[in-house]
Amino acid sequence: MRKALQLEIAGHRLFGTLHDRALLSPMQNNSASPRIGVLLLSFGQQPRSWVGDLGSSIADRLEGFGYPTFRFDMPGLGDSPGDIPVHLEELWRDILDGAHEAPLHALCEDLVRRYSLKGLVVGGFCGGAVTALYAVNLRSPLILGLVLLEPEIALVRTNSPTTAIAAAPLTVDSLQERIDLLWLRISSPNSWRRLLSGKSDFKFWLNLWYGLLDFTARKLSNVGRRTKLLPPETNHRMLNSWLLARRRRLPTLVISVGSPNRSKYYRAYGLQPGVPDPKTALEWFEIPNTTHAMLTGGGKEAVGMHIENWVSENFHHE
Amino acid sequence: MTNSPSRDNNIKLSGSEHLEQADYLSIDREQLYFVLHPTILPLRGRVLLAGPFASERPHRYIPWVGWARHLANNGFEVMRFDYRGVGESTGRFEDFGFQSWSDDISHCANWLHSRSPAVPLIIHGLGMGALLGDRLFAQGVGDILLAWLPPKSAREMLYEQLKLKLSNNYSLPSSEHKTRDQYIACLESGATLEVEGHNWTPGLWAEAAEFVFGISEPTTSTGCERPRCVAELDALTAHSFGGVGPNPLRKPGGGQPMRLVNPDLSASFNATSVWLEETLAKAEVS
Repeated sequence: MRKALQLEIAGHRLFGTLHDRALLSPMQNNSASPRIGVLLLSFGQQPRSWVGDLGSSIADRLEGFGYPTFRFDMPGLGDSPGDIPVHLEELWRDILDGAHEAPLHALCEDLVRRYSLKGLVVGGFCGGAVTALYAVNLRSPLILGLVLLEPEIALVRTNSPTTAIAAAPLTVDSLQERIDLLWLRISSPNSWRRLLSGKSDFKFWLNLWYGLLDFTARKLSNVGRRTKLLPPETNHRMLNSWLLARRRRLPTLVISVGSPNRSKYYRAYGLQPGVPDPKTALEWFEIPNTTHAMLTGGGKEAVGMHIENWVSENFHHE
Repeated sequence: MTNSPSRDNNIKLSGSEHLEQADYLSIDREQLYFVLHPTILPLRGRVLLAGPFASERPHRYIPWVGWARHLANNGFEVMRFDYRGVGESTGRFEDFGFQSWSDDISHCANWLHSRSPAVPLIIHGLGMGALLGDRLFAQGVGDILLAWLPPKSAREMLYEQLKLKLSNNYSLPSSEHKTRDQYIACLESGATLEVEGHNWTPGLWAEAAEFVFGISEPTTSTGCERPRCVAELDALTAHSFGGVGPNPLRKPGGGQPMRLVNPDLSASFNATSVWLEETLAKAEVS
């Protein structure tokens, strides 16, 4: 059973949806012990049901296991009024920089109080996962766990003068794309024809060599260092929240795409994709043969199953 | 309507935004999600926005909501909703099809029609919503029809949406690389196809054959012709609402490409709302 919500939070009017089987029979909600809720945040510009309705399908599953599950649109997204930039990359950059952190903190506190919850597990997808991670900065005992789907560690490059300077060098993603393109070009007869006829794309080769030199220099600089040098586009604020969550041993589930490129991406930032760390209450699953949206190749079903299992194993009903 | 928050003076909302209400209607044991955008101005008419197909919905959401707010700020009461099995409405996508979604539009039109005072009802469809809205309009639902980017038929629309499946396959080396015609053959042989998180059934493809845009002539009990318009959109509006063409605001040699999420569509919105006002005025005179 779903209920449409409109809450006034931190100077914003936020639209959301509550999935709760207790709405169907309110008597079920009369148990003495308060319940644990789950809050899910959308990624980037998408409305709160997420692409392919992945968010609403996860919420339906968790509702079936007795967890009241909330999904909310952050200001300016989905149904929630608010201002957002003209360009997508600027919106993403704002989100990664923590534009939704204050509304999230206020929302968490409001939901716990309003629904008499024991606490919240906060989850999100991509940029929403970064916002969810910022919930740790609240240092509140009411935040009981994190669910991070495809978290982004890199800051997005934009044409905005303030951010372009900081993010000018090649990113991990763009270097990987160039290397992939290199292999494609090596195996392409047309590419060889262009090279032999002197019509080669010299800008591509120049950028590739620059990227490889930069990458090699960073690797060499890391030899023997205790603290590794991270790529220039690293979102250090996000990584600090990650480290805080690990230090506090906050139960955390990460789900990412199990592709070689995505694994390299996370390793470049010092993370270990697919490797759980019970000492810091970290569980990390990789889903093979799917894309970033985690829908195709059985991704939608696998994500729902992992979250359902992890939540019910870590947060028992009392 | 339930769940109305009191207005907090610290909340920054413009125009009629503070009146917006989200809720559910009941239809065949499912919950149909809708958002109502009332207006603070004297009521000119009611607009029912029938949205695009499931896989397009998340990508058109921001301009669609922006359009609803623009109309509400110009004296129209607007209702937008999610089809059953999609977005905020309940139900499994694979249990519904074009006829069910057409029934959803009809259900919302009846709900809007029952509100007072009685004013003209405009059906405005985008993509699949235009296709279904046009069919209902021909059956006598609504006083004005406005269609944006209607597909020629439901089958053509599904065929177009299969590009999403191909593009996903392209980034998955281990995935089967079929053509769109091969996927259609799979559907026709009884297989279910996952496209962008939704399961397309053979029934959906079969039912699509019955939905063709513009084949029904509008009927009316009074003998008066009801206005029906397939609008021509400018490049920016077509790009924002249909993903048509490249970013029209991109300057040649302007560095890294930037994608649009919230462009200024006010020129197109103003022109359309003026057309609605003029059409309503003409209808009133006749």
